[in-house]
Amino acid sequence: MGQRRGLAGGEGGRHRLNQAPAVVLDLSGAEEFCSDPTPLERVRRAYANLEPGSRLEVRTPVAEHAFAVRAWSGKSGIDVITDVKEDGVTRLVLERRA
Amino acid sequence: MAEYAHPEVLVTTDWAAEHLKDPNVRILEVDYDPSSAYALGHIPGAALVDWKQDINDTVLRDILSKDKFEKLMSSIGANADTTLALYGDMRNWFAAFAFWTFKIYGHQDVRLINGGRRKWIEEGKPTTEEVPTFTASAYKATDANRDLRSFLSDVRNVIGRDDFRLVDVRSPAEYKGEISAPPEYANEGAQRSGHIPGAINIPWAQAIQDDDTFKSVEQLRELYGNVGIVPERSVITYCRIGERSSHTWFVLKYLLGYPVVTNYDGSWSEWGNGVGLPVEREGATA
Repeated sequence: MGQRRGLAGGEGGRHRLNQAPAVVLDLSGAEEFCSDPTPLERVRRAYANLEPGSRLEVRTPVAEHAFAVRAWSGKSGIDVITDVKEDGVTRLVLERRA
Repeated sequence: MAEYAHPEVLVTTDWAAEHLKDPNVRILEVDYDPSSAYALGHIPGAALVDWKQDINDTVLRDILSKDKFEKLMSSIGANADTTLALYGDMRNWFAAFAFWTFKIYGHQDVRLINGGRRKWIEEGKPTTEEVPTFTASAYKATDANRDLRSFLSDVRNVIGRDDFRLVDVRSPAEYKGEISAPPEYANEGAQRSGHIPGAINIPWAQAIQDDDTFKSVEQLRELYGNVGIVPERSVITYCRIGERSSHTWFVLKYLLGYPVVTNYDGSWSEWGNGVGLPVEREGATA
């Protein structure tokens, strides 16, 4: 059973009808190279490329990365539709407002 | 389990939690990208050290000057007896780099928080966005300790010597010459890929466990000793810009207690761009 946090949407990550599948960004193995973009910088870039109304699904096994995505989303007014931890991996779905 | 050679330089996240309000302790978060880390939440009372701005000369390619170090220490109200407990983003690489520079300028009591920012957050320990303020001090540093640092000429002079070992702590792909820079930073790479002749590849992460804390002294001795990285030899560590290698420098110098260990911070971004410098690459040597 996954561990859920408070959500902006509350739909448990299921897509609405006509909702395009989320773009998936897997942060596993991030921070391999020096001067790599930080995991959150990768999220920022992926989010910036989203079309309005579309979604970004971030997957990470690292609590530090999930913490950063939540905090940045909160500061940036980004809706976190799903925030769930299953089998050691946190899955956060961000929606770009239309 | 045997103790590290200098156990006093390593503290736990629990130790840090117990010293948040200790006036003799300054907890410093050393970040490569503060906007992705410190600005979003940090250990209560921790001051930010921005690796790019605070630990480096922002014009010349060099570590911070003695004068800049004194100003940094004075800004956090530190004196010669202050305990500096460092942690940071990116697996503690930049905290280790700061540790190395602080030792170069002679600060006595510098410690690394084992597991760093990642472990603190994993454990659900408190964070804040509040930035602390300190009454400034008038810190005085010592002159730079040249014994902790290697330059290009030092490295060139020891190639092929049996009393020295070069440790390349980059990923196997970088060591083998398959890549010279991070995939998203191709323009930050070197003109040539590969490694310094004779260097042994022991990626930095082999020194840590899954939770980013360091392996036991027995495991570390085996890791390095099995390939001839032993205390009887002098050791030079390098990576691409010198921060992953400062992590391994810390392991060899303080956890294993090797007497002569230096960090070559010029690393591959200097060597791989140097005209006429010898390079080894799988299937080719020049």
